[in-house]
Amino acid sequence: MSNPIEMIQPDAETQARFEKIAQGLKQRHAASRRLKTYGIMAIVTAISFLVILLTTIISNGYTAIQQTELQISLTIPAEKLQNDEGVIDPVKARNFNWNGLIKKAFRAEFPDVTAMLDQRALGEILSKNAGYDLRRQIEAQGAIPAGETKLWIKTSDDVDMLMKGRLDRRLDESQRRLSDQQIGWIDNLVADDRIRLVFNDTFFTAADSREPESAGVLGATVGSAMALFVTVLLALPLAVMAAVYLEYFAPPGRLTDFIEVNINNLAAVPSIVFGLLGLAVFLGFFGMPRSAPLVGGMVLALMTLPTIIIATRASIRAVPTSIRDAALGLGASRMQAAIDHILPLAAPGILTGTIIGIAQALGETAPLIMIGMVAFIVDVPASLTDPATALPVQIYIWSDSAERAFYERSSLAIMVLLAFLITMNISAVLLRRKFEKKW
Amino acid sequence: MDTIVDIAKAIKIQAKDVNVFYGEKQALNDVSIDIEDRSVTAFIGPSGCGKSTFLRCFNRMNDVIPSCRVEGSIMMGDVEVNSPQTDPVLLRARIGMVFQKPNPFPKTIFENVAYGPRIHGLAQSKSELDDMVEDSLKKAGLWGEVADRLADQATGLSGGQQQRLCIARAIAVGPDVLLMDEPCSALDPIATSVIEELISELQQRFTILIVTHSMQQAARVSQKTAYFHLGTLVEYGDTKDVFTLPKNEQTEAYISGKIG
Repeated sequence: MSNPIEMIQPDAETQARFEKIAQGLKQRHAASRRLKTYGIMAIVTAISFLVILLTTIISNGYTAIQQTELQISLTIPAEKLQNDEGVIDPVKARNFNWNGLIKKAFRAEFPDVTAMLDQRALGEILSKNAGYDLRRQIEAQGAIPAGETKLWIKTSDDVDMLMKGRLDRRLDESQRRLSDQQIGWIDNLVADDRIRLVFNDTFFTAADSREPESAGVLGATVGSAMALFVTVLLALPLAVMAAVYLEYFAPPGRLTDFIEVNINNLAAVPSIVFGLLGLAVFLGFFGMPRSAPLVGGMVLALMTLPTIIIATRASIRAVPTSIRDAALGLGASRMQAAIDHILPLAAPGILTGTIIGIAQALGETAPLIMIGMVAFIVDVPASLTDPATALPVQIYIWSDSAERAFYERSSLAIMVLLAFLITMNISAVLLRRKFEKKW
Repeated sequence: MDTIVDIAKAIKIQAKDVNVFYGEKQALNDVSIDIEDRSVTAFIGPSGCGKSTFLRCFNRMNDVIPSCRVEGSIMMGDVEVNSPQTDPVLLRARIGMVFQKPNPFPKTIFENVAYGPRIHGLAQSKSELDDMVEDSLKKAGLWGEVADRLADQATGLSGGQQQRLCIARAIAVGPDVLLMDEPCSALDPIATSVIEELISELQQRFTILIVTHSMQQAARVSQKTAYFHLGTLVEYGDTKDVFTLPKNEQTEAYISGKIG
């Protein structure tokens, strides 16, 4: 309808140049698509490895969340445990043969089992620590049930494994940890509804034990927490002060360069070397206690120090120099400029660096082995100098044990450790978001 | 009339044979200049001519740059600015500075202005500090705009307001010299004209040294103009003379837009 407007066409030379660019375009787009594909492939590979790892850990460990128990009816002889006032006497309770009581009661239910070896096989169905558990249960109740009572007692780890399907019945009897006879008894008990799987609270309330059914991660968790507490207390102020000094006060020169290079080197030193250092200096020279979370924390602090220094320096440098200039221009001293303005702005970065450093320390095993935190410790540590172990070391100890039940427990302990790490990393992200300021 | 005023003005700062080096490279060559009290002196010149470097000599901000070395003498009263005995902290309380890009602290408006008096211990009480903040904001022509939101974040202000806040922050310490390093280069023309008016007002109380890229700005706000080229002070005189009758060819070329 309207008149076609005559547009000016570019001259031949320009046209030719455009065509040349257009010809190359296809190849350039293809190259960037290829790069994108490589990137996606890399991410998919990484994620699938992660999924495989997590699936393995979870499928191996989820069963440890439950523990097999057996119902037994027995009569607790009150007269042997109480003092004259009718209160449980702790000395009497400790000396009483609880295991014998349970075994006797259990054997009484199988009157036809008389041979000594058979009776022993019958006893193997019960946990070796059943007597101890029963005493703790009664002591916690504070009263002795009168007459014959029905109680749930932990079974041995082998029965636990059978119930969870981790013991193959089709194997030859000599290859199995439970005999045909024992499996027969267990099947009868199951048929009588006298075996149940319950939540394994022991795992979260106990320390290590030789018996898988009595072992827990609380001791190692408390040990780890104590060591990390010491680590943060030592590493954070030292690292921040060192970083501030290096960024603001250190006179440029060979000495400063030397220190800088060595801090970076220190970050790359294998962690076991820090363990050896701790062994030689803290234990050997200063005579500090072996296996103590205090020493573990000190060694981990040494290891974390360079990480936090590097992160702190990076976040100090990320604060715009205009802020520093503003403070100095007003007549603030260097220290005032650093403390009033730069550190608050660098805080989110310092915090993130610290949490990442601490997370790294949490997963560290080698240096703790060197200073003796690898010991078998059945008590939850109560102070920084009590012998203790740490979560990754506990995992290492359990994964090295012969019992099948420790295998699933080490997987569950890995999940506990991962939960800790994820919590720490999420809190790092959240804290960063909360404190980050814009300018 | 002008001449009489000019003669009556005393010398505030006297710089003699100032040389500045960045490592091996010399950035300023034997610059000598007398700065008049309570006037605006503009430093102009093409990029890289050393005018900002020279400005930063007056409050020793070059100290922060590790490779930078300043030689020569800058006397302010009986204080030798460039002497190692002179405490830069004290010096910077006497000589305030406003930077190229508005750089308020990421804190409240009140905290920005109160920071200087606070670190120098100038206010005895909270009410005295409040008065100082109000007074500084009024002098910087910002009070009317921010009086009811002193607790707001300073970073929420517009660019021009931020720059005036930086001026208020600088004068809150009570300096007698103000250094301004291209204070309007990041601002739009309207904010620029507000700052320029402010500079003319502040001139009655302060000795102002201003680095600027805009020759119109130099012509509008300054009484004295110094033209720098490649690290040397080429020409220095009354602004109206420098702009109308430049003695030096280079100055003329720059002012008329032939170089720069």
